[in-house]
Amino acid sequence: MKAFFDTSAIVPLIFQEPHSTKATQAWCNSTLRLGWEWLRVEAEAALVRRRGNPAAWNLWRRVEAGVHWIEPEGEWLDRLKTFNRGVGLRAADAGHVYLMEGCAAALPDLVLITFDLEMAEAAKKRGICVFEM
Amino acid sequence: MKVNSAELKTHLGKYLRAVEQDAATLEVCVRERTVAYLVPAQQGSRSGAAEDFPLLALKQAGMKIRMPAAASHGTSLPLPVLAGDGQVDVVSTDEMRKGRDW
Repeated sequence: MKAFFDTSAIVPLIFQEPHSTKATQAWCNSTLRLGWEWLRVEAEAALVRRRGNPAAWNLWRRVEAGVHWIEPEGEWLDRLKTFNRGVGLRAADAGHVYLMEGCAAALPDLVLITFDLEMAEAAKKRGICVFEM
Repeated sequence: MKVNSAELKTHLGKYLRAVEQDAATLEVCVRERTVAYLVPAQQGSRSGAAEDFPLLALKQAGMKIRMPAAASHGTSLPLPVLAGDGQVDVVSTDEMRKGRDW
């Protein structure tokens, strides 16, 4: 499976959370793992705010080292703004979906891995393939 | 076909000819880790390239890609750990996202 990870599917790989089993399953079944660069900031915010210990930080570094980190070339925030006028997600969440859509245009079998219900719903409406929770 | 970066640098012409004449894909490695693929120009732009060369397809779609640092791309991970707050029923990302609705 070629997978595009949202933050909601990465943090449960680090901390024991309700979606940890499914997130681990998605990780293990992925042959290609993509994620938006911003995810790294969100994941580290979760580590800080939930007081991750050194083991959690080590685990995060292993996860970080196993992902291809993606960012669009050139000026893309104006395109993201326009995109989100029709989608209506929170700002960073729109970024994840926008990038996923851009990557899926090149890789039609790409699957979005998210446990964020609102994001999953918005992605499905746009015809994006979403990992079944 | 695999080649390490030093060998490629020394014999670049030979490998370019091989890629072109044999329509072969060259896997370029640094310390046993694959870092790049060198593909024939026509093959890289043919339809179906996404299946064989997903990263190339992403670059052609205008994406910048930072390659994984892990040699094995970290397929297996240790089990998740307990957060410092001791709670296991928290969905961290939901909490963060709820907190920044506006």
